[in-house]
Amino acid sequence: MKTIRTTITGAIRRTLTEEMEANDNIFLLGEDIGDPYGGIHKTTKGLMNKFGTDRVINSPLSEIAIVGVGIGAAMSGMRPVCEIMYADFLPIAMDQIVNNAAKMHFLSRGKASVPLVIRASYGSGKAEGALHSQCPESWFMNFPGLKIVVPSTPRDAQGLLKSSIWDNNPVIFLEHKLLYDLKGEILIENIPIPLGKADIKKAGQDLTLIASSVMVYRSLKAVEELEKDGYSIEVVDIRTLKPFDEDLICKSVKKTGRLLVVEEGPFTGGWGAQVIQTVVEKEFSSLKVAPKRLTAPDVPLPARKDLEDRLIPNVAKIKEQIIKMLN
Amino acid sequence: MKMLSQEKAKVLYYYLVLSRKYEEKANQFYREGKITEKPLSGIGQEAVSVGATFSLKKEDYVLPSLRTKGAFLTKGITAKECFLELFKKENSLSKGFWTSHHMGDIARGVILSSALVSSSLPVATGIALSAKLRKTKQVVVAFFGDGGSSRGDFHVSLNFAAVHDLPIVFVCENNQYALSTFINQQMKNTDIADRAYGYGIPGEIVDGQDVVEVYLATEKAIHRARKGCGPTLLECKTYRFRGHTESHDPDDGRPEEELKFWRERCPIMLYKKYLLRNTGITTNDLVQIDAKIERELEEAVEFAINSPDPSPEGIEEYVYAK
Amino acid sequence: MKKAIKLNNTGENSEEVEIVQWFVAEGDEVKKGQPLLEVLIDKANLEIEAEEDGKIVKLLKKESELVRVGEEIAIMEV
Repeated sequence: MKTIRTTITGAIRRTLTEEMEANDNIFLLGEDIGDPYGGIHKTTKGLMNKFGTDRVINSPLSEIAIVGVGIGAAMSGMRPVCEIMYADFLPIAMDQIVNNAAKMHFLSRGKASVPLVIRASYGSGKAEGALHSQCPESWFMNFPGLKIVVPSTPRDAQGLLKSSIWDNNPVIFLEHKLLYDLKGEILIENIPIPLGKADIKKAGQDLTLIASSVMVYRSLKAVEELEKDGYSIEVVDIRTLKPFDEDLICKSVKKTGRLLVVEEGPFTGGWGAQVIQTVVEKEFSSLKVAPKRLTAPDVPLPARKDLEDRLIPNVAKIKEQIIKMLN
Repeated sequence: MKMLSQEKAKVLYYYLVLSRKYEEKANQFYREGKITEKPLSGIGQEAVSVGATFSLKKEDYVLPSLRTKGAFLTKGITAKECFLELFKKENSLSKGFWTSHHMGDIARGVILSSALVSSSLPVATGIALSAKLRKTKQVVVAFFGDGGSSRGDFHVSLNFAAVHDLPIVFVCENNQYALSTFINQQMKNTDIADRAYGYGIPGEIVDGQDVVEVYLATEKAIHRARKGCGPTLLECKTYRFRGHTESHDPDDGRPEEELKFWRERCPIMLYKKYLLRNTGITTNDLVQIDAKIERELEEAVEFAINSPDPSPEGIEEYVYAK
Repeated sequence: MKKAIKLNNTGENSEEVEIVQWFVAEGDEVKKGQPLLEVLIDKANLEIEAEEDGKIVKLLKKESELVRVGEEIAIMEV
C-alpha cells in the first residue's frame, strides 16, 4: 500500500480534510481553530481557508458551548469534530459529556444518538504546569456510553480518527502534545482502524507490557535496552481505553504469564487497574507473578521540568520494574 | 401578525385544557399512590408552554423545560404517550428509562432534556446551528425557568447563539420561584429579559398568563429566527399554582396575597373570557372540547394502565449506538 | 524550459518540514513573488514564494507530507 511520511499533526489534519471533502455533514468547532492561527497545535491549519467558516467554526471561549453545541448538531444529522484546547479544560464540559452526550442514546431508547468526536491535546513533558499537563486518560472510564481513544503513531491517529468520526457514539480522542511532531508513514488511502483493538508494537515472550501514547515509546526504549541482557518483553499499545481489547491482552498474558501496565496518569483509579482486574479475573491461572502498575504518583505536576520529569514514568523506571518482575 | 382563525383558536383552547387536565390526573395518581414519579406540574403556566409552541411547524424543534407539558402536546406527543411514560411502560417513548418531564422524540422535534436545569440549552443551540448549516429553515424554541437563567449553560447558549445568529428562541418561564428560592435571591435584575441586552439580542417581557400575547410574541420571534436574523429572549411572567412537586404543599410556603393574585389569573379562564368576548366561539363549543378531552384522557389512562411493564432483559443494548 | 522547484533552507533546525497547503494547482500560471505553498515550521507557518514567473507543471509532494530541505517539490515551466 502506498504511503507518505508525515507527523501526527499531519495525519490528523489530512484525515479531517479527507472526511470533510467527502462528507458535507462533518464540521469542526473549537477555540482558535480557524485560519491563520490554525489551532493551538496547528492541527486545523489551512482547513478554514479550504472549507470556509461554515465548516470550520471558531467558538467563543466556552467548553460548555463547544461540547453542548456539538451534541445538538450530532443529534440532528451532523458529525461534528469538536476541539478542546487542553484536556485540562474537559472538566468544564463534564456535565455535557457525561450527562448529555453519554446518555442520550440510552435515555431516548435508541431514537437519538450522538456521533460526536471530542479531540483534546494532553500530557506532561513541557512543564506547562498542573493545569496544562494532566493525563485525562482515566477520567471518563466510569461513564457508560463513552469511548476513549489514545493513538500513538501517525498511522494509528489516521485510522482511529476516521473510525472515531464514523462511530455513532461520543468518542473522546486524546492527542499527546509530545507526539504531534512524531514522524511516521501513513496510508495515502486511509483504512479505518477499529476502535477497541490494541496493537502489539513489539512481540515478546516473558512479560506483557501494556502502555498508551508516550508511555509506549518509553517502554519500547526500555525493552530494547533490556534485549541485550536477554529479556523478551511484549509491548502492547492499548490504542483504545474504552472499550479496551480484552481478548488481545488476555491472549498475551496467557503466553507470557506476567503483566505490567505503564500509565502516565496518577496512581489512584487509573485505567491500568481496570485492565489488571480483567486479567486477574480471566487469566488468573496464567499469572506467574502479581500484576503491577507503574504510574505517576498522586501529585499534581509542578511547572518546572526537572520536578515534573521526576514524577512521570521514564525509561529507567520502566526497566527497573521489568527487571524486578522477572527476577 | 395574523390573528388566529376560529378553528385555530379552538385548537389552542384544546391544548391548554388538555395540558391542565392531564396534569391534574397525574397529580391525582401520585396522591393515590398509583405512580412513583413525582409530578412537577406546570398548572398555571399552560399559556407559556402552549402559546410559545403553537406557531411552530412540524419540522421545528422544541426543548421543554420542567413544567412545559403543553409543548409536548402541541408537537404531537399524545396524552396516551404521556401517560405511558408516567406509568413507565414498555411501549413508552423511553421504555421506562427516563422521566415524563424530560422524555423526547427527536423525530417529532422534541429534544430529550437533561434533568439538570438548563443543561440542555447548549444542546438546543447546537440543533439550531445544525439547522443553519444545513440551511433547513428549521427553528428551535428552548424553554427554561428563572432558576435556569443563573446556570452557566444559559449564558453560554445565548452568547453562542447570538454570535452565530442562530434560529433559536429562548423562552423563560419566570414563575419567580426556583424550588424554594424566590427570584430576589436568584438575581439582582428585576427582569430576565434585560439579560438579552448583555448578549446583543432582543429581549421582551410577555404576560405569561395571556396565551394570545405569548402566541403573538413567539410567532414574531420564530419568524425572525427563520429569516436568519438570530435569537430572541422572551421572558414570560407566570406562576405555578401548585407546589414544587406534588409531594409539596400546594401553597409551598409562598405569601397568601401573592398566591391569591396569581391564582385569579388562570390562563384557561382568561382565554375562555377572551374567546367568548372576541370570537364567534360559544360556551357550548368549549364544553364540547372539554368533553372530548375527558374522553381522550380516560381512554389514554385505560390504555396506559393496561400496557405491559418493560422487561429488565437487554437494557444494556441501549447504552451504545451500533 | 522545465525547472524543478526545491525546498530551500527554511531556517528551521530540523531536516524535514511538513507541507500544510498548496496555494497553486497543476496548470496554474504564477508570477515571481506569488506564494506557492505553506509549510509548518516550529508551530508557525512559512509561505514559500515563486522565484520567477512560470507555469506549474507538476506538484511532486502532497499536503501533510514531510519534505527535506533541498528536496524537489514541484516542476515549473519557465
